Amino acid sequence: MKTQVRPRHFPAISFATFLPAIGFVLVLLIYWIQQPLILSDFGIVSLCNQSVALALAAMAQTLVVLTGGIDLSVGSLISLTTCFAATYMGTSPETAVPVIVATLLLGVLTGAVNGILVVFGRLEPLIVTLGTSFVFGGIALQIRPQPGGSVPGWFATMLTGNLSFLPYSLVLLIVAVCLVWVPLRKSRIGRAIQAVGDNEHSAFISGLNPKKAKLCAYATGGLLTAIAGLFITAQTTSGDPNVGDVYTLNSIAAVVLGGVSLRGGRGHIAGPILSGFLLSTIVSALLAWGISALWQSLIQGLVLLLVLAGIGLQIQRSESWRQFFG
Amino acid sequence: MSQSFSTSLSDPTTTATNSRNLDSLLVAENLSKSFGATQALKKADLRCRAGEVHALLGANGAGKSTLVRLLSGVIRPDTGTILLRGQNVRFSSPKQAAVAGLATVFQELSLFPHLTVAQNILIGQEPTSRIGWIKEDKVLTRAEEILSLLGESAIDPSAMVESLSLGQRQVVEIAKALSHQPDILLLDEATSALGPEESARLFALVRSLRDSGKGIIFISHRMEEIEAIADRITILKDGETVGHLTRDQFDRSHIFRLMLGTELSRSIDTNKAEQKPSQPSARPIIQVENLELKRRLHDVSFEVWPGEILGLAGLEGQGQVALLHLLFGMYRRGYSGQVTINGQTGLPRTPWEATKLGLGLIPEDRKTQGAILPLSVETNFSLASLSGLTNWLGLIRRNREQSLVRQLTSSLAVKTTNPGEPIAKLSGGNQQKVVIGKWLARNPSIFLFCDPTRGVDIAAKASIYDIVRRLAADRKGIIYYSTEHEELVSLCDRVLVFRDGRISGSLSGGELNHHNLLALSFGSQPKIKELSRHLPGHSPALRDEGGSEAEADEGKAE
Repeated sequence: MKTQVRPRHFPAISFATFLPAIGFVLVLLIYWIQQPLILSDFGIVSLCNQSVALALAAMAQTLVVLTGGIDLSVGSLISLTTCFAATYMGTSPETAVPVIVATLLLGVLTGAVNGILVVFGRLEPLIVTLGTSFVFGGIALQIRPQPGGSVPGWFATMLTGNLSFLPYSLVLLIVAVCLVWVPLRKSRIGRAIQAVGDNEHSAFISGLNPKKAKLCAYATGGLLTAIAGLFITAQTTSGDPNVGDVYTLNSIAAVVLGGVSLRGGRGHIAGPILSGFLLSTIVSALLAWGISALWQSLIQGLVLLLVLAGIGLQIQRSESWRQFFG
Repeated sequence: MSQSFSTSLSDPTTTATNSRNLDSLLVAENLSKSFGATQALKKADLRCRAGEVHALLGANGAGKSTLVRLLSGVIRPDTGTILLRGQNVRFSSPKQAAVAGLATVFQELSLFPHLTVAQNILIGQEPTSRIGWIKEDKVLTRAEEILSLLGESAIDPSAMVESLSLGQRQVVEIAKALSHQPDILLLDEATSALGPEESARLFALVRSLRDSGKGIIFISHRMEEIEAIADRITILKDGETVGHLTRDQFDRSHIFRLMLGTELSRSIDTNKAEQKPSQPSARPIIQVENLELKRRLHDVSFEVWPGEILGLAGLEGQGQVALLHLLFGMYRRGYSGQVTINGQTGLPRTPWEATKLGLGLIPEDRKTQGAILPLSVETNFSLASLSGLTNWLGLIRRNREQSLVRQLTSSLAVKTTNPGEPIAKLSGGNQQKVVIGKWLARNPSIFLFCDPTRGVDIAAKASIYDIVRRLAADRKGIIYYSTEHEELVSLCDRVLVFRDGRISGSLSGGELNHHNLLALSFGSQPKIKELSRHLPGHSPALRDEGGSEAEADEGKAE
């Protein structure tokens, strides 16, 4: 009667996680028809370099969304970290390395500020992060009112270069997943983050510490955002107080596309990462087909709605109204 | 791992130490707690010895749930002391209580639907490797061990909790409490969603825990369970401890007197003879033939007459809830059959269509489906009848709403000081009265009750029975699903017993008794002279009296 079931170390990968993978392959195919060079080493490197920042931002967003919150400060934190890094990095490793570390710490700190306001201020994540997004953006403008600054050449190469078919940006992403995401998901605190998002009261009466779990999620989200910021700094070799703006809503789009429930408590990281690649590649594919950049956001939005409609179709098939209304 | 766990539950050394200081396992003295102006607990005492099952009894608002939350560390007392093994303790979180050896099975369940059964059972105490990674295989095997202690083999520990039935979830909740290897297990309505078989297994476990020297604090609204398992009873009334009874002092009428005073005890011992004879009627208010619902209901046929209370019985999850939901338009597809409701053929396809047909549903989960907790008592009352309360601009007429609420509050005896306060502040029984009142305001002709007395105390139960009887006297059609056999026997004119989505029998009159309900639930033969007469389709006296008339009427109509 009872079947031996393999323990699941991760939540089951759902249909919703596969969607962005399928979409990504499709878009890649369309891209390739117009521009076969995309499958050369140069093509793959530029593809990854375009996508990794959004993938990292989507990871950060996923953590916060898993707790049942939302982070509207992802974009301005990216701007802040690029401005900080590009302004103070200098050229020699003696100054650059401490600044890189400081940038990562800045991410953790600002993430923790979000977390503290949400946890101890008992405020809505939406409002808190909306507020801090203006603050972070404001600080970025103070540090660097105009785009500019510089980064050491080796730093740019280290993050955006490649070893034949292997882009370093992809290595960065894999390292971030292995060093930040996997240990978190495998530890008790990661389990607590998911539990808190699933049912906060249950988490409390189960003896978990919801405050600690949320703080940890926001702070780690800040760290991942700072990594995204550092990558963009390397990519643009400058700091720009507006460079991050698009990442706020795009990261939320990637999270939703990736099948992470905005109600918290469930989702797999593969979905948002792949969705980050999908959303970024659509842009390049459109350019390759000679479609004006003015159409980009329209088409990105339509893709998002189309996929959501696909998820909605699943719900439409539900047998009872209770499932329908979730 | 498995050995260390099972031995710890029946560790002989623990038994020895515990029996030396018999009285001191858990002593709560003079506990008091106020929420704003309400004093939920005044002077509550509770002493649980090692090696005993200690029942905690009390009527509506007596302070049981407050006491449970104090003991389990969810809230802190204003005054008073809690001694655990003779030591003064002050839990600031449920975790501290669990670590100290007091684990609680919460009535409201504390599970995570999107984690697996095993992950739920061991949440917060997962075995980890040296670098802090959870060992999922260990989690799984430990969860399996704990479940097997409960004699539970039907629940797959790697299944998602969202896929389990309510009864199975309750078993998981119990397993979760056991995972802390507690010295004191606090079971707050832990059997409310369990079927008889699961309850029996839980009782066997409770007895073995008791015999190994643990203390069990047991809260249940089912008197027969308390009589079966408790060694002593503490009775609460209005936030104070009013009685300690030992086993030889158990006597229902005495207990009820302590709990409620004398006036209410009579209506608990509901009496068959009091019931009004069912009146013959022109035509059934609901007629159902060959109803099928994918995977849930098969070949269901019955009818309900005005003024009749039709009970639904059987083990939990045999299709009773699905039937009520189906009648209320909660299913969108997957069903077939002929249904006539209030003279109209066809099932409603949405709940709002159902309300237009004259149906009202009192759902099984008061907290998430019945009441809207943050809204006021007033708003909850008027929610289903807003269209009758609006002026020509579509705005709600406050004076009408308020007079409606006043009228309902007094006729249902809802205990509330201020109808503007959130319904969440009321006790469970009073919340349920508001949920029923919501439909009364709309005046439907058919009431579907889905286990309305689950987790409701005796006084509120009595008044819910009273409301149901009044509705029946008012010629409403009533379908009443309950997990409590006693209630069905005393309240219903006729009871359909469900088994695997089919009606396994219909009972009425003298044959409607506890034994026959149980027998049909388990698929064995009831003690009935001619069973065939009572099978669905060939229904009892009601039809014989009213049937011919109904047919004549139909003839006239055509």
